[in-house]
Amino acid sequence: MTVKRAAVTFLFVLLVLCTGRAAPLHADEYTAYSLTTSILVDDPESAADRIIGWVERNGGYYTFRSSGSLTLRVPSERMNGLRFILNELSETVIDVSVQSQDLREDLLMLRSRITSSEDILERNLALIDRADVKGTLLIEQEIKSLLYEIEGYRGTLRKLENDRRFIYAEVLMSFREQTLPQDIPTSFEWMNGLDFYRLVEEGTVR
Amino acid sequence: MRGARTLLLCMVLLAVAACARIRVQPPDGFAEWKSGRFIPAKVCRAVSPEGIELVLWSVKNYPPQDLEFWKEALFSHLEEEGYLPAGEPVPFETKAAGVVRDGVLFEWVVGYGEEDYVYCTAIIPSKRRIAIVEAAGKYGIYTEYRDAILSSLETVTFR
Repeated sequence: MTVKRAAVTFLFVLLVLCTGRAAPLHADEYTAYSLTTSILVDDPESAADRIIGWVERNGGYYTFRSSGSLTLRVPSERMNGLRFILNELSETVIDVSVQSQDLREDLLMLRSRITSSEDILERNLALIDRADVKGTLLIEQEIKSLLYEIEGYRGTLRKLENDRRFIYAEVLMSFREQTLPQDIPTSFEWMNGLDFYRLVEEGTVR
Repeated sequence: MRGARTLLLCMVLLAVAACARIRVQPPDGFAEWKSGRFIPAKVCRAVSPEGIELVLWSVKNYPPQDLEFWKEALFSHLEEEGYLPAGEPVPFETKAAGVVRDGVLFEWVVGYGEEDYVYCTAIIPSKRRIAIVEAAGKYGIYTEYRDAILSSLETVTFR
């Protein structure tokens, strides 16, 4: 029983040390940015190499790469640099969209959930000595589930911290998967004759 | 008798010339597709060695409207159809035959097969007609000819 209790106490102390306690949150530092852009480049492969090279030199990394798109994580303070390099490397920037999200509420909520779960964990640990075998088993089960819960919160907290420090950037360099243009009739008859597919496939004017 | 024949021939030639509704100097590096030796073209076509095709045709300006109107209408229509604009519209002037007309060029990005393509649509309205230019080609190749295509647009003439 003593060994069990020591093990559980050790786990608890470890958890408390790793999690830390809530610190006051200041406005500007808790904003997560995401950027989505579509650019036209002559050679998507070489452009991707150059973009990734720049990102890595600036303390970021990429999480996904395909022949026509990139998903990047770039340090927040490099937002302007990222936009500059994308402008430099592309022939045309088709579209840029930047979103921001204030994470303070989520962070505070997670930290208080962690704190309250830890308090419950502490109370459960205090009960272990007084419990019989059946009770000990139940408390162990409860502790296990609390630890699992706290680990989940800590994971989400780490993700939010990462979102805060790194911009999420999605760079689209190919338009093959876009929604294909459709024929929509208009009352201006001649406009109905304009059609990319007809021009490319038949070379005729309707 | 001979004089009458010559007069008739001149009249026919003049009529033929008058029918020559539309013309464009093909972009540098493009070859013109001739539609016929004596029949004036209602549609002009030119093609690059890589297969970028440029087509010029004209329609009646009906309802009679100016460039601003048609620019707005064309952009809205193609955007609604799902074409993705590649940058801002490019204004230009045709200066051929001493007549200056304003036109506008739209460039669209379209995914086609395994490649990205650029689809150009340009319009040049006059009081009575609207000249329309279409061109399409693979993105990488199109960029090489873009300046030549823009210069070519400035040479469009039509009645």
